[in-house]
Amino acid sequence: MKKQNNQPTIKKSFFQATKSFISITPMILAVVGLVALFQTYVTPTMLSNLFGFSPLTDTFVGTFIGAISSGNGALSFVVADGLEEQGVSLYAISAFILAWITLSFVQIPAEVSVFGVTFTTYRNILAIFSTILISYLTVITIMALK
Amino acid sequence: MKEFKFKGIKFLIVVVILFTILFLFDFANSSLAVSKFFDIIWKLLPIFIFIIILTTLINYFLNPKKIMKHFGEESGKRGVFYALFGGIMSHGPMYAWYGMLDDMRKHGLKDGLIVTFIYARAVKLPLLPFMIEIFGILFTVVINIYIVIFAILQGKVMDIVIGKKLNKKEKQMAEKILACDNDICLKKDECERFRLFKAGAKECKTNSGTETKGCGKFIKISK
Repeated sequence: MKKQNNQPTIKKSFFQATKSFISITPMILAVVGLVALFQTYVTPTMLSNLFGFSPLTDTFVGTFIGAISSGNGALSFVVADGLEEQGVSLYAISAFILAWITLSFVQIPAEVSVFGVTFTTYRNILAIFSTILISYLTVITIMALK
Repeated sequence: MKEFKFKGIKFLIVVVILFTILFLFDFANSSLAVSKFFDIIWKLLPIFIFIIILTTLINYFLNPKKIMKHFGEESGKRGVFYALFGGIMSHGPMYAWYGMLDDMRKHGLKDGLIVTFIYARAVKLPLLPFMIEIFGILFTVVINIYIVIFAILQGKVMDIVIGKKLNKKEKQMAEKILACDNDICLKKDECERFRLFKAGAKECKTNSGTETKGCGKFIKISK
């Protein structure tokens, strides 16, 4: 490929990329530390015990629990499966899975340090509203299609 | 040369203090947490390497002008498509991608597209078979379609909200100063003139500016 004027060399690009990544390592280590603490002290059984109210309350609980939880997305499916067997509403289950994957309160300090308070606040508020709306729309759509 | 700065040092100190306190009062569980910490880091290493390689390629192939074209104010539907596609295809935890997104943002990536990228990551391609097995195909298809729709909507809303805030500040600034599109200048990331250019201010000229000597028209980005 022909090199254009002002285009950095691959070596310089790699150096910039590495430097950029190294600059966020304290933040990554801190988030991983919190995730490790969360996975040690908060068990799926503890989470399951927080459900069992009305569908609306369970949806908010699901959103909140999902948002404060962290870990691989597959783990949220396993916990959600257990909740479904316990009779928790599909609204709450959808909200829980979505919040687990899209919201992570553990990551907020890291997000603020990179993108700033304004961006982080707006993004998380939008994500919370979307999570609740999607969980309701999903269940309504499924009911309509069945 | 742009000053190197670590991000999240205070946050890391707080977490280290938390671990130290837990070590004193609950040695067994905190040791388990440390072991989990290293497990997670070990599992993330390939993703970190992948992100560094991807960022290298972006730095090499996409100069700021190209980033502006594909992901900036004028990117349109193509920018949304790239953000959605990137979000769906990206793996690993979100925080691992912050560095790359921050780099691209400094070169003109729209906030709305970052929001779209982040929410689109909720579509977990490798986990879809697992999701279908647990919740069924109908639930999986419906929820993922809504995720994609809401990823786009969130991006649009973010652009409107941020745009309104930016416009107010810009109107005041643009009356006083000209924007500058000199993307070679090493002070550009700290300069209000370049920020105004990225935001699409009307009047614009190219001021010179080098690594050793500024252009003499540098204005620090206002808070």
